[in-house]
Amino acid sequence: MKQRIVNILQEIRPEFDFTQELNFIEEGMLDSFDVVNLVTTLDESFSICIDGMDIIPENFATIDSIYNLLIKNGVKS
Amino acid sequence: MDKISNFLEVQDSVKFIKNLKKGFITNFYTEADRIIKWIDNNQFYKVTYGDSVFFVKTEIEFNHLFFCSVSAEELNNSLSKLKEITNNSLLVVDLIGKELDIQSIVNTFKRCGFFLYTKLNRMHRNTIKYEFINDLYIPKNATISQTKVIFDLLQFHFDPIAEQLPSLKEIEDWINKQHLKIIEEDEEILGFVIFDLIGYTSYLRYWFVHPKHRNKKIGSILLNEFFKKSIETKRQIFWVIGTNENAIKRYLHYEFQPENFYDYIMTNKNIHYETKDC
Repeated sequence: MKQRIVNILQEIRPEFDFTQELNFIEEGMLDSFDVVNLVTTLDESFSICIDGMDIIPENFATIDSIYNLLIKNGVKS
Repeated sequence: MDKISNFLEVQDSVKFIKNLKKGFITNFYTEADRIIKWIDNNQFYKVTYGDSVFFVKTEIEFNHLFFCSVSAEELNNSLSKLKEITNNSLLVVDLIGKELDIQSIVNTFKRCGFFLYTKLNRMHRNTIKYEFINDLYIPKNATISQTKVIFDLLQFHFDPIAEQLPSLKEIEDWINKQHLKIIEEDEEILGFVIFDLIGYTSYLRYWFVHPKHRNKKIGSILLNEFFKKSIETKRQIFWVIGTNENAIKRYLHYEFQPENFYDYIMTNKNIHYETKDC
C-alpha cells in the first residue's frame, strides 16, 4: 500500500521524490491546498471517506503517517 | 462576535467542532503564523452557532469569513443565523478545492444568499533555469521606508476581495526576508514582485508593473528575479483570476500550467470582480 501512496503523491506533485525520508509539509512538498487535493484523491482511490478530524498536517507529513491514517480510516493493509 | 486574543482559542474552537464527531467540513486552511498576525492586529473574531464555528477576519471594507462545521446541512442552518448579525456588512468567503468537489459547498452558500464574485485558478510549473535579461533596470530589495508606498500600490491596483491584500506588517516581513524586489527610478517604484520560498516550493504572491511603465520589460525582469531567487526550489506556484486572460496568457508563455484546483470567491452582496490588468 505504501507504494500506492507514493504513486498518488507522485501524480499530485510529480516534481518531487516522495520516496525520500523527508517531512513533506516542512519541506514545502505539500501545502495545505495540496493536502485538500490529496484527501480527495485518497478517498477516491481507496473508496473511503477520510474523517475531517484527521485532516491535520501531521497526518500527511510522511508516507508512514499517511499509511497509518488510511489504516485508521478502514483501509486493509 | 468575540475578538480572539490568542491562537489557542482558535485551536480550541476547531477542536470543539471536531470533538462533536459528527463530521467536519471547513474552508479554514490558513497557516498558523498568518492567523497569529491577524490576532496581534486585532482583526480576528469568532462566533459559534450550534455545530458550526465562524471565524471573521476584518478588512478595511469587508469581512473575510472562515467556517468549521459538522456538515453542509448544519452549515446551511448556521449561515442563516450568521446572516442576522452580519446583514449590513460585506462578507467574503473562499471555497477551495477541485472543481467538482467543492460544488456542494458552493451551492450551500448560494442557497444562503451568497453570489460568485470571481474564481481563481492555481497554476504551477517546475522550476527551470531563469532567462538572464540584461537591461537598464536592476531589481533591488525594497526597504522598510517603502512599506507604505507598496501597501498603497497594492490597495489601489489590486482587488482586495479577490487578492487577499497583505497588511503593512506582512509587507515588512517580506522586506526583511528580502522577498520583495522592486524596480525604481527617481525614487518612484515602477514595479515589484513579492514571493515566498517554503522548502522545495516557491510562491509568487504579487507581481506588479505600474500602468504608466508597462511595455518596458519591467514585468519580465521582475519575474526573472523571482525565478532567479527560487532556483533552489522545485516548483513555482501562484493563483490567478480566471477571467484575467492577459495575465493567464503571460503565465502560459512562461510555461505555467493550470491545475484542477480552484478558489471560488463568494460574497453576500451581488457584486462581481471587474478585470484589472495587474
